[in-house]
Amino acid sequence: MILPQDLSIHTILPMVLLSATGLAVLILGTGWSRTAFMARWLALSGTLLACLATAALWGRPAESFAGALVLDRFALVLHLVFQISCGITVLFSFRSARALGRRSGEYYSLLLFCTVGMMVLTAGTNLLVIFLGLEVLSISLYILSGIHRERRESIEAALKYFILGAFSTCFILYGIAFLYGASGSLDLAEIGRILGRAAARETSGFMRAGLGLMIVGFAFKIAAVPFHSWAPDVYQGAPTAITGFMATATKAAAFGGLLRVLYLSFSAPAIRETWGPVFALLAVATMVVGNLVALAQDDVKRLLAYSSIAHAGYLLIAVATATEAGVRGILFYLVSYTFMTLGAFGVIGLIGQKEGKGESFSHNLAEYAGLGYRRPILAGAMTLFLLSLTGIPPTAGFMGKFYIFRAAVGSHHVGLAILGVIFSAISAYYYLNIIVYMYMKRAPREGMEPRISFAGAIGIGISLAGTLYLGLFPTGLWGLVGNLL
Amino acid sequence: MENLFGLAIAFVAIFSGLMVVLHRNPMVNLVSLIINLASAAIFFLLLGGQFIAAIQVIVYAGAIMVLFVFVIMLLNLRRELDPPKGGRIQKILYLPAALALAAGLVYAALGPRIALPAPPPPGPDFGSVERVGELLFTDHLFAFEFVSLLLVVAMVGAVVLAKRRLD
Repeated sequence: MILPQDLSIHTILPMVLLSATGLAVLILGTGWSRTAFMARWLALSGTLLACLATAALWGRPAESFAGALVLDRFALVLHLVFQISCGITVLFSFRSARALGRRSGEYYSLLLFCTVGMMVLTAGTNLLVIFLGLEVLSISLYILSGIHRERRESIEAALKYFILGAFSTCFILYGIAFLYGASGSLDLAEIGRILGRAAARETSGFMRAGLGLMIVGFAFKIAAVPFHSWAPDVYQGAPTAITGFMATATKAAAFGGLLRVLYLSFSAPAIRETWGPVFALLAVATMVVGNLVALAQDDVKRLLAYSSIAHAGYLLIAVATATEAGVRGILFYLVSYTFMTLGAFGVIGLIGQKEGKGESFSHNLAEYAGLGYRRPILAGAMTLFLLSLTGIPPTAGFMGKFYIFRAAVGSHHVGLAILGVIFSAISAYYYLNIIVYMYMKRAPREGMEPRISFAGAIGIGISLAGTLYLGLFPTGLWGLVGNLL
Repeated sequence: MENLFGLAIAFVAIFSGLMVVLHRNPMVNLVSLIINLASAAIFFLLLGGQFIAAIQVIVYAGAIMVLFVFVIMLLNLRRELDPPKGGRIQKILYLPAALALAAGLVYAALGPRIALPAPPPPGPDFGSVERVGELLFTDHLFAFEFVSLLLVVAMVGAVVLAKRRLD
C-alpha cells in the first residue's frame, strides 16, 4: 500500500471553499425562488471566506499534493485578484441575474467554479494540472457567455467562444505533447532543468514546436492579435457582469499561466532570446489593432472590448522584456487593470439595465449623452475609470503603464516603450469621447434614468477605491509583487 | 517487424483522421473516427500499455462513439451536408496555412533533439492496472480529483444550455 507523501491539504482550502460554495449554490439555486435569492448571498460570502483563507496562506510558500500545486506569492496575489474580481462580479449580478430566474443558481455556481479553475491554472506546476485548470475556466466561461440562451447575441457569443476556444485548447495540448517529447517530463521545473542544460549546446526542435504552439494557445486566451477575432463578439453577447469578469480575471489567469510556463520551463537565457521577440511582435500587433479599431466603435461595450485587447498589448510588452522586472510590472498592471475595467463594465451594466426587461445588448454612446447631469456620481465614477484606462495620473492605470514602460526601457526595449506611449495617447481619443458624451451632449429624452442597485453601487465603490488607492499609493502593492518567480 | 507494423498503423491513423474532417458524409466521418481511435489503442498496445489500450477501446470506441451514432441517427443527417460557406479569404488561405503549420512541425520534429537519459527499463508491472492506479492516486492525485470538478462544470453546462423548458 503506497500512500502519497505530504498532501498539505490546508493549502487548497480556498479552492475547496469556493468549490463547496459553488455546489451549495447550485443546489439552492435550482429550488424555489426564495432559495435562488439566497444563492447570491451564499456566493458572495463563499468568495469572501476564500479571500480570507488565501490571505492566511500568505508568507508561507507551500507545495501541496506532492508538488502538483505551489502556493507561492505569485499564485496568491493572482488568487486574490480572481477572488476580488469574482466577488465584485457577484455584486454586479445581483440585479442582472434576476432575469435568469431559476438559472441564477447555475450562473453563480459556474462563476465560482471558473474562479477555482483560474486558481488551479496559476498555481499548477505541472502541465497536466495547468491544462485541467484552463479547461475548467474555459468551459465555465463558454456556458456563462451563453446563459441568456433565448437571445441570439448570447448564443452567437457562446458558440463562437466555444469553437475558437476549443480550437486554441488543441494548440496548447499539442504544445504540451511536444514539450513532453522534448523533455520526457510534465513537471515545469523539470522541463526547465532539462531544456536549460541542453540550451547551452543546442536548441531542440521539439522544444521550439512546443513553445510555439503553447504561445499560440495562450495568445488565443488573452485575445492577442491575430488571435483576437472572438473577443469583441463574445464580450458583446455575454452578460455585462460576465464580460467584466472575462476581461479582468480571465486575462489575469491566462497571463499568470503563461508566465508560470515561460519562467519555469523556458527561463534559460538562450531560450529567453527565442520567445522575447515573438512577444514583442504580438505586442505591437495587438496595440495597433486594438487601439485603431476601438477608434471606430460607437457601442461602449464593444469599444471596451477592443480596449481590453489593446491593454493585452501593453501587458505583452512586459512579457517581451523577458525580465523579472517585466513580471513585476505585469502583476501590478493586472491588479490595477482589474479594478478599473471591472468598474467600467459595472457602470455599463448598470446603465444597460432596463426596467423589467433585463439587460439590453445595445450600449450605444448616445445613451450616455448627458449622463453627467442625470447621474452625476455614476458618471463621475465612469470618468475616473476611463481616465485610469487612458493612463492619466493619479490613477492606477498611470502607475501600471509607468512600471511596464520602465521595465521595457530597462531591458533595452525602448522602441516598444515609445510605441506603448504613442498608442496610449491615441487611446485617449476614444476614452475621452465617452466623457465628452457624458458631460457635453444633451440627453436625447427624459425618463431614461438607470436605477442603481445597492449591491452594484458597492461594487463600483470598491473598484473606485482600488483604482484611486493604487494610483496614489502604488508602493505597497509594488513591494508585494517583487521577486515572485 | 514491430516497427513496420507501427508505421502501417500510423498511416491508418493519419488517413482516418483526414477522412474525419474531409469526407462529407457524417457516417463516414464517424466510422473514420472509430478507426482513428482504434489505431490509438493499438499504439498503446505496442508501447506495452494493455490496460490503457483496453480503456481506450471501451470508453472511446465503445461508449462515446455509440453516443455519436445515436445523435447522428436522431438528427437524420444521413444525406450529404453542403460544404461550409466560408469567407473568400479563408477559402484561399486555409490550405497554405495548414501546409505551413505542417511543414513547420515536421521541420521542428526533424531538428536537433535533446539527448535525454535513457529511461529506466519498464518493470514487469508496466502498463498494468496496479501501476496505473498507483500513479493515479500518488503523483497525479490532484489532477485526478480536480477532473471531477471539470465533469461537474460540463454537466451543469449541458443542463443549462440544453434544458428544454425555460422558466
